[in-house]
Amino acid sequence: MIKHMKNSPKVWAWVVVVVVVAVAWAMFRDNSEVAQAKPLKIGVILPLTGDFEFFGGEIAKGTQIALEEAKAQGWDVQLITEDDQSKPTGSVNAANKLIHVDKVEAVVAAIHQQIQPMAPIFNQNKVPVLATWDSNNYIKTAGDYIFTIGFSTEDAGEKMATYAYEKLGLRRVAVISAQDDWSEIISTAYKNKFVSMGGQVVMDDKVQPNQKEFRTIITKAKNSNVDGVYSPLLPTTIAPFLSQAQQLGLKAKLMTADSFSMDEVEAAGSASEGVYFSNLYANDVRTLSGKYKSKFGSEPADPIFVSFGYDGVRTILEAAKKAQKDSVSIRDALTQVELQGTDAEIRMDGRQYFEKKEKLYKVQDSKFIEVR
Amino acid sequence: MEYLIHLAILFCIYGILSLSLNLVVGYTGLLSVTHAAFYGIGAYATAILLTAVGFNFFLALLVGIVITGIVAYIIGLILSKFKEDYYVLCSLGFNVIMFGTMLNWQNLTRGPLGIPGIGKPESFGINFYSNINFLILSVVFLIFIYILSRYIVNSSFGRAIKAIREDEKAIQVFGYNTHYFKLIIFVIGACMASVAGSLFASYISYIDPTTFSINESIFLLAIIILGGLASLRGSLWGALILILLPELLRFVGFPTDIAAQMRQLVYGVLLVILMIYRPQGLYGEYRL
Repeated sequence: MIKHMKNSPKVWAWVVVVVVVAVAWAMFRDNSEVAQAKPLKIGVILPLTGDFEFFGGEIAKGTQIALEEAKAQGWDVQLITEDDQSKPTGSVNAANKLIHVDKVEAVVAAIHQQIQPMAPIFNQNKVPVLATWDSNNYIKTAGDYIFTIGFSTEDAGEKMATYAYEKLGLRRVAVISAQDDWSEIISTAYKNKFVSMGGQVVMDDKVQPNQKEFRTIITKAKNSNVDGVYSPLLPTTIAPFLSQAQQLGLKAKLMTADSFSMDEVEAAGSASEGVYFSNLYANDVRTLSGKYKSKFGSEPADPIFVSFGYDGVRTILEAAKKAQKDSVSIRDALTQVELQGTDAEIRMDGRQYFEKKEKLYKVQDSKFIEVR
Repeated sequence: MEYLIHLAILFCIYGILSLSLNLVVGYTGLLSVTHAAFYGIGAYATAILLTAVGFNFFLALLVGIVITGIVAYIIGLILSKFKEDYYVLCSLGFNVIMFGTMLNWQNLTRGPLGIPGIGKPESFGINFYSNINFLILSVVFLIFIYILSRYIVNSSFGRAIKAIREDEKAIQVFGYNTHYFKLIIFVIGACMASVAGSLFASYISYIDPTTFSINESIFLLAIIILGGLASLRGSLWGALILILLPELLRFVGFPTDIAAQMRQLVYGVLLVILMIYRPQGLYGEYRL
């Protein structure tokens, strides 16, 4: 229904102008304060809201633990955390704000979806950004100021393909991946490796990232007489997939990737028994979990996520020890970092990446058993 | 200053989008939820032509406009069969189709991996690699789109589309082919959105399908409703507020643990308050 209204917008428009001027003043006022006392500024860009907030918050808490320890050790360091809302534009906005307003010397991020849109900004402005979860061929070659200490996505897919062919004896597989860039990268690596070894990818289908109904596609896989199904789906979708596969009597060996967690195992129940998957790991999370509980009063939802933030900030600080307090020298020092991380001993050895390799597991009696 | 320039560029891009959408929704009364799709077609056309074919940006932009215009013409022909709620649903369906195409036509669009490494414009010895130069380019396009929109709105064509909004049957009685007017304005709006898409792709230098989903169409509708339906100035004010507001909230000193969630909450509350006290938007002539 159209209803015509009288116009008197000038007051509102002037309110907006005043707010804009106030913020611009706040931004430039902050810069002048910075000139007087200059701590080491580390930016953190994480998905604290949106589709990926389930891990963003935990990674952020890991950075807070590292910050607290650094301050206790006498570091004059400031952490500035920005939310990218799980969107490329959000990542770009956050990066611009951290670089141009906060004048950070380095930034910690997490995943491929963030690095892709931000990479040109960091390269252009000569500020290093460190991805702490993902590592892949794109991130490793994204530019002089892009670093990663994450887990190799391609290696995870290839490792699962090799195990499927050699140990499980699979020869005909169906690949059901999500329309998501992580799922795309890992499934492509799996397919290429599996085919190169002599296997056959009989079916290659995609589902929506948050899809929960898979009966049609599972039936298609069943009718294709495959002996294995590789489904690197996103969290909260694995459990329904496995349950529906069990209900439809799919007998093929089921394989998935590192979105599979204990929560998914509990949700899928008996349907998760015998599922093979590649996964992130950390050698010792008990200490970090203890620090988390001490600071935040509860156990971490997933200590691996916490370790990403924790090790990310520590890696930057390790580089800063040997560098001037500017982004270019921190960038150079990052290539020489050696640090005992939560997940592994991090050694950059002159490179811009330290790639961690995921391990393979099987669900047995609701527990994760490593397989080789 | 660089940060402000960055926000100004985004404002120009969303300003173009809101002007173009307001021509369709505000002036003509066609509640279209497919605008992000045309934004995306322009972006992808530019991205593909720049990265895979090596076109010049301005040529890629023109080709993007043509492609978007053709797609909009076809979609507009189909949409012209529907009215009101059915029009909305159908336009929503088209946005979903285009999003699915961007996601699944992997050979062309690289699917969920998106297209990185999109270059900045350069022509006749002038390059737009720096943000300030790109801002100048964006402002030029915004001014051009604004002048064109104003010309359309103030012309006899503009009077016809406003009459369609008010009472389509009445204007049909006077012999106006309303399908023709609705189709033309729909295509014009889509072509303008394509320009915004080209600028976006080149500025951000990376695009993926998630940027052009139905959520973006809804966001664009929110911009013009907030700024004011059937108001060009309102379109720009709406874009300014909704681009700036989330960024302004970054400077509010919420505790780190809850800052992101509080910003979303405050953002939502402010929008609700604005709609309560200005339901017609800042400069709106009418409200839906």
